Amino acid sequence: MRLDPNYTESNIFAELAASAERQYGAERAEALRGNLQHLARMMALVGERQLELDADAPDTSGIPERSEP
Amino acid sequence: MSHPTMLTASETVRLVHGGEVSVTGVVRSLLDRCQAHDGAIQAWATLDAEGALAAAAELDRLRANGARLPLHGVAVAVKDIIDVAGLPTIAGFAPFRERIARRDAAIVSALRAAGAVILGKAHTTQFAAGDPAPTRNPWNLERSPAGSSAGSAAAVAARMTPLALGTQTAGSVLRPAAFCGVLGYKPAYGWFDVDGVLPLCWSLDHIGLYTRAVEDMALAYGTLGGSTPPVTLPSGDVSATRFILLPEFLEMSDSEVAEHVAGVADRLREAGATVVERRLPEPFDHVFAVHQLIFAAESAAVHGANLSRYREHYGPRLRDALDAGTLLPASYVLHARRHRRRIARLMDGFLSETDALILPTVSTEACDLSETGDRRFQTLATLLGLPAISLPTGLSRNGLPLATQLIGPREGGMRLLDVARRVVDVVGQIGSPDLGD
Repeated sequence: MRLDPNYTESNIFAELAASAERQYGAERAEALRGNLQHLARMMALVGERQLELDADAPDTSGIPERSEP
Repeated sequence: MSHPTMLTASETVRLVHGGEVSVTGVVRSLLDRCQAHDGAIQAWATLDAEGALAAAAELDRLRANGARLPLHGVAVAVKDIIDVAGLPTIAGFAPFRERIARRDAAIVSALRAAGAVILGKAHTTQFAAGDPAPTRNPWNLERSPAGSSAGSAAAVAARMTPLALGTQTAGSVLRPAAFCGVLGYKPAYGWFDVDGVLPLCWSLDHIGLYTRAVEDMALAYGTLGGSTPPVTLPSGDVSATRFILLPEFLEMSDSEVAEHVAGVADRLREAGATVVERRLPEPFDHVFAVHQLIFAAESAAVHGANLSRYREHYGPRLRDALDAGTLLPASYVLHARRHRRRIARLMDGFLSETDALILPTVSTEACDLSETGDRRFQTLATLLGLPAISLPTGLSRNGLPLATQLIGPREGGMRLLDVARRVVDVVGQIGSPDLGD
């Protein structure tokens, strides 16, 4: 799935729903609809904010590597 | 002298040290209270009367031989995802009913070394996730105690124990504290070794504490953190304290909650504190989204193999969340983790201008038993590993607890407790629920 600021919540949901159907079947995918909608909303919010190529590396603890000057 | 079930942890230690009560007498009284009320409240997954009385007898012997331990005779409820040697760690999961821990979790070892008595294991939502525990709220048995550390918070509220251990990966220490009307403290990430604690999300899991008094929180937090006893809070004046009130959280709350927390801020201002209103440097919906993606991905990874093996034993909410989380693309999870570091840096700068942030702990009063409540407001401190405390500062029109959350700078764990004490000095805190005795 594309990590793209222009990729909308509905784009993301469609891909997640298709992935769920492939993995779990149509009935289970339908049962997961609410969870997938929530994830799609969260993914769209995170994805719309791009970071520079050389900006922060992933963190594992919430502890910043350096302080704001 | 108060009945032993009325004693705080600090009072218990003082009386045990002074020889005015025996540890055995205190523990027997607490066990009697558990027996009287746990049929209704269901705080305990495993109550270890035999083990607790044996430990109490040994602590009385040590006291007679001159020992004075920092938590001498303080009873503790341990959330049932934390190992206690010889007891099962069930975690609300039927296949684990016979999963007997061979050794204590690191924090349980530290509690025992400090003179605490493990009363037993407190109910949790399954694997500290979203399916409600059997526990009921001591303030109203038809309301939720929240989750996931439901039994721990309820046991402290019902005066079955003065101290309990919980854990938080989203809002599982702070929210039960708010719903049950006790103090809940989630120290900074990494405060205590999580060895012997079942994980839910490695980078979000925190150990936390429940008490009924700020002094008790300082005693337990300081002792477990290695402070030399006696652990006491420094004296301080609220007029020298700076707070930032976060209006976006009031806007997202029920009106009664918003009015209550705004009123707390007003009373602090009237007492001379500096309280300014300022919004977070990052929109909260984005902060929450970052938390949710990391939570979904890590919990799916933690539980993948176990879910395959025991699928039918998983609660429906957790099973659905794990199935959905498994589908998350790695690029989004890593992008969320990059944002987490960026937001943490912004927040450290924001917090450098204040002693504590003020916000509601939860957006509502305790909800009904089908849910565990709104976890959004607790995720700010969880995601960023910041110390946060929930204070039981009022009652709703329905007679249910309302709570104020304080979040402090990363390195200021004891400092936040000092600020909490100043807040309680000004606005007060509620007492215990009436259980009809």
